Amino acid sequence: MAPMRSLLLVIPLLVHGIAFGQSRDIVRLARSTVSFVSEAPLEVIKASTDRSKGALDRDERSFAIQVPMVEMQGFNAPLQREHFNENYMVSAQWPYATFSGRIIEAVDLRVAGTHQVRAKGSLVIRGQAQERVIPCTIEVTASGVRVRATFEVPVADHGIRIPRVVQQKVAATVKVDIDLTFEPQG
Amino acid sequence: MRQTALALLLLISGSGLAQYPLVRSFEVRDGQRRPRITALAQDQRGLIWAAAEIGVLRTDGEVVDVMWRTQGERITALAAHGNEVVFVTDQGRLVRCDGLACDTLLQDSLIASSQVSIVAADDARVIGTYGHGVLMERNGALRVIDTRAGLPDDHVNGLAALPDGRIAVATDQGLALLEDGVVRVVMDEPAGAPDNLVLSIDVAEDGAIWAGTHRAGVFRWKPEANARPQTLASSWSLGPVDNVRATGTMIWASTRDAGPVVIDQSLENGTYRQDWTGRAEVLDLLRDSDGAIWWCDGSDMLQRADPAFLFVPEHEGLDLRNITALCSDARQSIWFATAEGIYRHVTWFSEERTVTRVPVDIDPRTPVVSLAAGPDGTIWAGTFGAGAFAIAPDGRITSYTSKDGLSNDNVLSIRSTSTGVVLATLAGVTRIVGQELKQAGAEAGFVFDAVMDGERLLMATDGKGIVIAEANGDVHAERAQETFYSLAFDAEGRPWSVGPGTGFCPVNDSARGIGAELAPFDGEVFSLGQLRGRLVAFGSTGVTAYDPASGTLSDVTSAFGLRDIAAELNAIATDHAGALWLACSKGLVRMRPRDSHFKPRPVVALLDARINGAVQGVAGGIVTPYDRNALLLRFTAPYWADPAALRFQYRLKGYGDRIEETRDRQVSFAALPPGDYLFQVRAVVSHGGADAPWTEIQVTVMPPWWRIPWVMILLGVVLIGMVAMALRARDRRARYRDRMEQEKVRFQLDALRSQVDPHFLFNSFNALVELIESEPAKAVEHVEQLSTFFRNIVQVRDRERISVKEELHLLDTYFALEQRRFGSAIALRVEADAAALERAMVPLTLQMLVENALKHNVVTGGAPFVIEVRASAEAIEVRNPVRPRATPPRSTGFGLESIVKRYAALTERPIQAGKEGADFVVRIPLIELIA
Repeated sequence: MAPMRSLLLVIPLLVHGIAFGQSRDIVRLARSTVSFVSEAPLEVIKASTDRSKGALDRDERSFAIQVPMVEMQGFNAPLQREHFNENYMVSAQWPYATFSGRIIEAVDLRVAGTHQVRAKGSLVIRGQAQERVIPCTIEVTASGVRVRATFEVPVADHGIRIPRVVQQKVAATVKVDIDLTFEPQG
Repeated sequence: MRQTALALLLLISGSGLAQYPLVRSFEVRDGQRRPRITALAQDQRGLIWAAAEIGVLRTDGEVVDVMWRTQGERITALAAHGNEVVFVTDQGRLVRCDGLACDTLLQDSLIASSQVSIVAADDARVIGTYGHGVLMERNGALRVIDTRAGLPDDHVNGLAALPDGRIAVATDQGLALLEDGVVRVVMDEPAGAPDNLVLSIDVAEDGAIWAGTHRAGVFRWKPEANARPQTLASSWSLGPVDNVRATGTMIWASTRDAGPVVIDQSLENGTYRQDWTGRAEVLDLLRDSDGAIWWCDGSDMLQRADPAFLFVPEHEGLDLRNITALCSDARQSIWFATAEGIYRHVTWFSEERTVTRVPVDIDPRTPVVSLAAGPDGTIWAGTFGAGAFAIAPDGRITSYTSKDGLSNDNVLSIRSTSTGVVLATLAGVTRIVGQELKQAGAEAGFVFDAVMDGERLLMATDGKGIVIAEANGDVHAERAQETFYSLAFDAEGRPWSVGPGTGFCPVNDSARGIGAELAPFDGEVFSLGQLRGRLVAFGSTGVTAYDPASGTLSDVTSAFGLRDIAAELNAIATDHAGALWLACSKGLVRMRPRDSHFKPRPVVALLDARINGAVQGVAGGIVTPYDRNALLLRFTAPYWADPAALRFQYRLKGYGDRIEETRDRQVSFAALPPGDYLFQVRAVVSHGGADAPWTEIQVTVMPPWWRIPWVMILLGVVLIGMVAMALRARDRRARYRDRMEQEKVRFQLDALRSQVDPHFLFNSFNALVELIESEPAKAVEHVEQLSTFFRNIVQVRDRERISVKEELHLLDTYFALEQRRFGSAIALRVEADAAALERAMVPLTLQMLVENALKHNVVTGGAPFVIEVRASAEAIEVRNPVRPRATPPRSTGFGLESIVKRYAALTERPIQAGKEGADFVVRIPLIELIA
């Protein structure tokens, strides 16, 4: 898928702080927790990962985050994790979920403070892109930028079909929590 | 497309709020496939275009045409301009489609993204991209307008064209106005916009911009200098507004979570909002040319909601399908009565609880069947069985029964005007003026409705016609045998009345009943109302409108969504804003139609023609050659109220002028003979109305070239000339043959004659006699020679030509015979070229010439008479010395002459005959052996 490809090209550029030969104020994802919860009547599925990669351009207020699906940990059972990767996410084919876009509000990401902002961008899960506007809390400190958000993802948006037999076990809408801390390189 | 039954979606919501506009669903099918429709547009003819995963479709509600079939490309935006649409695909292709063909204007990676919007103008296409600003395409070239050109942001969420040609752009950082590709005005948060993140945009009919935002609902901005945006109250609670469309006073918004929501901002007391569809995601909203709203949700269903009609089947726990009486007052209130009580409600419906129950007890046995609001605010209620009562603005109730002087306790209708109250009862009419009750029209019996027309009292009665009580006390009836239920005034103040089977009857001219054959006059009639100058009759079988100004009748049953309804008599009211309210079995119905709802029939558009299967346009008429004359014409008329009810009348003038009627949207003529035709077609909704204008197209089938008049004349002239020439030639040939035959006969005759010349025979026989005596052996030889001679003559007699060789042989035989007679006195000297021998001549020519020579000259005595014959390839020459006789011999005179004539028929070269010195020479041209 085109947006996915272009995104995968952009991330290394952002991560290395070099875009088109220009030095920009880019902070790299230093610590992160991305977790999700599926709360179905009969079963709660949750997992998280701290292996995400990402970068934030403090001038442009643009960002890109890449979450590896196979690194999701904390399932109730190994079988659940297997189902997650093989039946639902098809991680072999689409190993990453990505979210790239920018922050709508004109906040200065170098001046310490806390802001409620909206991140608008393309959420790609299982190869399917959806335009999303996600409200976030941004906390700018001397050491970096911390972004926290909670949002819901309807799984049907990304082509994930839940068989009727497990409808009581997998929720149609998955709640996602992210907590990302970006810090300057080196 | 089969259109499903009128889908009036009824949502019983938990809040006790139930109301819905008139909604119709259209199912779009391409064969068995169910296209998933993601975007909508409407062209100038009114046809709906839809972008689906299979391509671009066009429909009139009945027929679906796939105008462009995709090969895996996804259509990301669609817009109409005139009768064309333009669209872009996720492969970055910009395609224009005019209903006949689609062409790719350009392909560019800048527009290959998935979030694209597009608007089209006369000569340019404007494309909004997510990340690259606005692109203007003109003549296949792209111009980029982005932040460097002053655009607030490169991320464009939507575009809309203003009536003056400016383009409004919704971006992630506010609105911008483009004029000729230049950013003129920016409306963002610093400038007063409630939210920078503008997700959707629309331009209303009045030129105002409506913008749907992410967190501030919908705001309106009149794009003029110093104009401040106004946020639509309470719309902030909608959530992110993905689509917004304004129609009339209604704002439609679709959000990710809630489906289409309509906000009516016409009423002073604020807005109301209604989630009545319960539908999930709305992918696109479209405002059509009739002010109705369409949406698609990614399925094969299209929904069309007409906000001009609002149905409220229940409200705040009240069942509004059983209203028995209805009236409106001058204070934006509707009053209605049910079996339970009398209620007051504002003329809009919102989540606020606005129904007020009037504190009056109703006995279910004597229901309130009529209500009227007086100019002083008094509400009058008429009951069936308990007379009438008045509710004063202060709540005081005054009762009137037959004991108080009311003509009857069964009150069927109440009217209250500044000149008093008129109560129609089962026994005439009672007027209340001030405190005084006056009875009138007792002879009218059952009076269903009564009004004052100036000083006259008009009564609609049961079987006694329209009874008119004049001011001077005279009473007379119009159409005295008929029943009338309802009275109303038209825009000019003229009274009209309707009843079962009557048609629209002008009270002052009751001879005329207009439209009596139409619904609802063929069934139960409920009431007569006036809307936008038109009279509207409601009944169980339908609704028909009559425009007294133009004399137009129109069946509006489908357009109003009021089929198969039941209602109480005269449960109808017009509110202060001109909307008509009807209480019926579908609930309380508010009608605010536009003029387009009264169109008696839609205008037919000719779509295309197929000539021997090949599609072609119809602009400017059709001209086709004689051998491509299988013609199929396709036409349509958008009639969204009820596409399946539409019929078409057509005729082909010049082919059979009969008017045919069909439900098909195409007509074919299998083999049109050459000629000029005029195809005419018009749409018919429910009944005749043969006065409708035709939509026409000229059809010309060219004759084959040989049937073109001037070619035919030319051919005729040539043919006549050729025939004449042939006749003449035949004639000439026949005459020539005749002459030839004559000559031949004469020649043969000459030859024979010469051979049976008595001299010749006499001489021959004399010679024979001498020989028999002296030399019997030679006599035998002589006889043999004679025999050979005659046999030769017989053999060649009928031939036209023989070779020179044969002719010389014949001459030898002949000369031998002559020599018997003349002995050594004559001699023949023959010289012939080899070439000459193969040529030909007329048989016996030489013999005849030699014979002539011997006949005309003195042969004996003196030197031998030598006849020389010389043959060359060209001619044969017979030469003899001239020794004329003293007495010329008797001559037939035909000899030489007949030779000349026969040769003249065979060759152009002449025969030369005459003296050359002492000789007589005849030169005969030689001819070919084979003609």
